[in-house]
Amino acid sequence: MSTAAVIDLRALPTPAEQQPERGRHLRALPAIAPRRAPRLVHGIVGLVGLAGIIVAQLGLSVAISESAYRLSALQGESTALARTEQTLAEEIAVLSSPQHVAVAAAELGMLAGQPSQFLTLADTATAGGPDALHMQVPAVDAFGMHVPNALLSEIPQAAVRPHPGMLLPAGQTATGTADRSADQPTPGSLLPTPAGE
Amino acid sequence: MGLKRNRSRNRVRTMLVAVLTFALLATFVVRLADIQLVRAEALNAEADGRRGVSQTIFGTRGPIVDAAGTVLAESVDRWDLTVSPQYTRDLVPEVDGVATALTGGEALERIAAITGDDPLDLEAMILAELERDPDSDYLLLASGLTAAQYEAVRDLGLPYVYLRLNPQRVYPAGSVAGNLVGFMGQSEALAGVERSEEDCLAAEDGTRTFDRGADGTPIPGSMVTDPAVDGGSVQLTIDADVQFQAQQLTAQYTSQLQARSGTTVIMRTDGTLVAVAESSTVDPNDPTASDQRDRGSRAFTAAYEPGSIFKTFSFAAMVDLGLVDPSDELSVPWVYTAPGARVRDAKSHEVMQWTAAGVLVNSSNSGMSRLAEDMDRADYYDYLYGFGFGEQTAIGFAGEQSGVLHDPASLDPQTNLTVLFGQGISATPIQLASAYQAIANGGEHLPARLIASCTASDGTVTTTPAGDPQRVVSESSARQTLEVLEHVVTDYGYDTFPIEGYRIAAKTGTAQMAYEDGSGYDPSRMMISVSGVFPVDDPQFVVLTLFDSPQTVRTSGGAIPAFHDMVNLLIRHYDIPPSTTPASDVPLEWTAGE
Repeated sequence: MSTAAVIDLRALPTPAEQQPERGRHLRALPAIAPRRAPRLVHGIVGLVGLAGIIVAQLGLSVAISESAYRLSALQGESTALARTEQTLAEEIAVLSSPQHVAVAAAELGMLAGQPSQFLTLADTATAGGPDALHMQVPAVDAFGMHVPNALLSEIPQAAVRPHPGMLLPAGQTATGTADRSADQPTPGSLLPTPAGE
Repeated sequence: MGLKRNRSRNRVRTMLVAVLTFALLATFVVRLADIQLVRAEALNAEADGRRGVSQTIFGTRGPIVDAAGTVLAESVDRWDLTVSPQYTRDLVPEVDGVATALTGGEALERIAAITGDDPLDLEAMILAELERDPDSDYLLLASGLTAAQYEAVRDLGLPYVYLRLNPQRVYPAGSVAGNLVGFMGQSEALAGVERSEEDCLAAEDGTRTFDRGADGTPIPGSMVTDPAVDGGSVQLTIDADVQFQAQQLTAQYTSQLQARSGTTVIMRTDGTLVAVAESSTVDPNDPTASDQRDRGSRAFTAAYEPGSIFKTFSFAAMVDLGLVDPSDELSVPWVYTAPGARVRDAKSHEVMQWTAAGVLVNSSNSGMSRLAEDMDRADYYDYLYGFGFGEQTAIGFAGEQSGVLHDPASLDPQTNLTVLFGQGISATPIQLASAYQAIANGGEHLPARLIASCTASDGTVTTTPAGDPQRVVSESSARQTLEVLEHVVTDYGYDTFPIEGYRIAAKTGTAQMAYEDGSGYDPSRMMISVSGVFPVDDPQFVVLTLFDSPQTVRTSGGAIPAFHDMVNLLIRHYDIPPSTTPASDVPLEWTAGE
């Protein structure tokens, strides 16, 4: 109670001081302007904007994931093509190995060419190249190649394709060209179907 | 009073909202810290495990190519076919999404048809694995599948089959330079350049990590790639065409002579090797098919006592020291004796009136001993070191030997003489060719070279330096020595030796081979050899050819046709024009009173 008394004691003079001024300062509040009703168009603009943003984001994300699939498919295709390329390059490297070239040349009946002849400026003579080799033995004998290549045995020996003017063994005509073409892949068949790795 | 109560109620409410808000905020902060900091690692790992994929990107081991770029060794993609034995089963259309039912046996038959195996073998392997462990998830059925086989197996769409990339090494030229290129074991290089150039050839594998969607497609933006670094490409100084032809000739002569082995070294005058042909040579595609001894390169790893082809260096040293002039006149008996030593010529002959040149051309041991009477052996050995004997060549081939040069001060009287003609010292064929290179190059020795360059995957080229030329003998001494050796080709008595129009210098040798236990010389084993330089007027090539233990012709004459054919082959291949200067006319014999 004593606390209340103290408060009361303090509080009392205040209203007494303020009371004389209260009447002078009373004034009417300015009239509040009536709020304008929100216009429909703003709402529409806002909603349409929102929808636009959502649609755009959706579209963008669809486009990105669409590209991701496309990228993935293209990468798969690129891998497959790289494999094909490697297979073919490998085959070429083996087919162009000295052994294969030598054997194929021998099968075609080719002989080592004549050595170069050299012109001498001093007189009208030509200077010959070297004489013949002492060793006259074919590259392939009964025991196989002197310089073996394990990879060649894996590749089926391509039959010599007869060409116009080629000397053929008696009784053989230049057929087989058609057969040979059957071994060739049809254009486009080497392209593997793209696959997700 | 009512106003007061209202106010304090407001305050309480505000406090309540603030406390609640802070409590909520605090909960979120704690949770955030917990997820982001405390359990971050575990959660990340779990997330990665759910959708993250980590793939190894295999770097490709670099190729080995010859001087012209012909591929001698390269890496190709191959696949291992593995299966999960416990899930090997018959496939049903409704469950496995296959068009028609496929029994396990049929699947194995199809696999076998692709890989070329026996389907029953494959089945037996699977059953054996299941016997061992019924829950087994891994069995290697076939390895080394090519791209075509890989695609065929993949198109079978078997859910229990997994194809694993396992790059392999192939050698398209087979045994062409197989002795030099070497080969790979399961995981590491075992021989040759594959081994010695590992630093250049080796690739670094990379990784690719990404998050994948339900169907395995990488989620955009999640890909992190640590690219693989491919190995560099090693270019050799070898010419694969010449190497092939030299190898073929060496093999043919080896079989004609019924020799244990044959070796031919062809070197350019600048010290680069054109061919190192050996018979037999390993085919690196299938090293196990070769005898253990054939899997390396004898030219580098088999030092031997070279015999008479070594006289060239003694002669050049003596000419350079000013002790001998090629036209010096001597009377040469067939036996030479000195205190504690006695050397004989290969055949007995009466006392010959040979010049110093005649002594070398006729390969007289006795005459050489006589010529070298005034030569300090320490000086001689200085020349031998200059020519590159007694130490590995600059090539540093895997397993290369350095040969043996004893201390000249400790030689016994007999060896003191025999070192003049290549006994009591040993050298590899490469060292011998490299020493002839110094004579061919006007007396300047250049380090032998096999590796031309290493091209890293980023295009940086590291060329093997040519090395500093070391003058061994003077230009005039080298020229005089070559001019004397020219007479070996023309006047040694073999019409299979010379090639008309070309000035060729060469020295023959028939070396004795020591027993492997070192108990003296094996009378049934000879090493016949010819080493030479051509064209003498403008030296371009050094050729050394040697055959171990020939049976049909057992003297150096057996190697002469092979040497002739090697020179012939080089002339044809490189279109070397005939010599335009006349052959030397240094006298080989003399008559009293002239």
